[in-house]
Amino acid sequence: MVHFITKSKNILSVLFLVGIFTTEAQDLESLLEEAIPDKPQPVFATFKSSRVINLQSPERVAAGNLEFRISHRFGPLNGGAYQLWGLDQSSIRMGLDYGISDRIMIGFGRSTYQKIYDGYVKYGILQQHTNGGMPVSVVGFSSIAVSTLHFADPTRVNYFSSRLTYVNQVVIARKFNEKLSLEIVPSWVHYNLVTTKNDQNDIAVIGFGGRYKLGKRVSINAEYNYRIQANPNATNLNQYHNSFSIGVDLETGGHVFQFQLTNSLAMVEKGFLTETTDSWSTMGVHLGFNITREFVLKK
Amino acid sequence: MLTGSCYWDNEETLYGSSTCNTTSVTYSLDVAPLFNSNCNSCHSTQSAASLGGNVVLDNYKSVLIYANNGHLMGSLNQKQGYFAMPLGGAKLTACQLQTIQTWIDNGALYN
Repeated sequence: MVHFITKSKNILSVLFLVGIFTTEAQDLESLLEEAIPDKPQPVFATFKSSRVINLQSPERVAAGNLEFRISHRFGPLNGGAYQLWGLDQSSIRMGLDYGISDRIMIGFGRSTYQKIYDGYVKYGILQQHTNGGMPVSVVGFSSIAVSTLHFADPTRVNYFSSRLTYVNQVVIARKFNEKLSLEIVPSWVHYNLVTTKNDQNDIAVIGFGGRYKLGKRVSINAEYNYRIQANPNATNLNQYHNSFSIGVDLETGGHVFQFQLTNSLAMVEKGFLTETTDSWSTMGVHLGFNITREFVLKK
Repeated sequence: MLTGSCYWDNEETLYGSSTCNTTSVTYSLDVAPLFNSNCNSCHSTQSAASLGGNVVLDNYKSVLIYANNGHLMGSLNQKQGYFAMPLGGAKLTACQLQTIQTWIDNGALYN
């Protein structure tokens, strides 16, 4: 009797184990089928953050999430010891970004630079896919910036429209592999009011950005924005420089820290694309950082 | 998007290019008001130490120092080697710069 019970227990144990392994084998099989598909799969995480440094990346805040972003730039390094290499000065932009859907994100911010309020929409147009699918991600970006500085000459008739600048961009990005991602960003910047007849109301800018991952949570980033000069006498191009920035992204849970060196003081699009007053050649370089914190508002 | 209220204006056409009159520039009527509206939120006697690098521009005696050593126009013209001013603000207009330059060229008088 005892022998019969022991034998039954052994048979039950074997059947139980076989059952588990069979189930596990089926699960692994289905997982492998999902992991090695024959149809194109969307590519995610081309960059760590919605900005490469200043420039927009194809990334957007997830639907229902709210991201609080603080961007900060110190003064130029060529301020020397008296200005503690720029640390005595600061310029800041505080912003909120919200994901309306997985494709559409909106944002709002306020900069100390020209006391600008800016609002924007960023919308996914195409998504990069693997296995012969779409080779790049394409994202549209449209923003409006309102300068709230006092008018230069309050005695004349001033118009609210003179405060407005528009930026439209197309971000074309490709994640080449787990480490390397590159993007090209054609931009159009429009000023409603410029100073002289020679100045350009419309400025085309071509931006280049990239990141190279050094580890799971660390990457180095760089970007360059080249302004295309249509009129060689345009003082609103001649008096400024192209923007170049290099930085490091650190990811820690819900935060992304971005540290950078840039010759642009402004963090709003129209500022760093077309109003960069400092130059790398004279060490007019600003140390800066961006910090984000994401909050889940809707699941 | 957002181009419904686009204008292609320039100040020369909108306001005329002959509005910059620098024939009788004075410190009290022309130069000091420019500093008050564009510079002295940081460069007043009260705030210069904390916000303005201890550069005071709300009295003639202090302004004269920076007018004479070239730092004033270097910064306002945003020349290389100088702090571009106004910090975080739009560069002064050509007429405003011309007004200050004319005052300096005329001897930077307390008039």
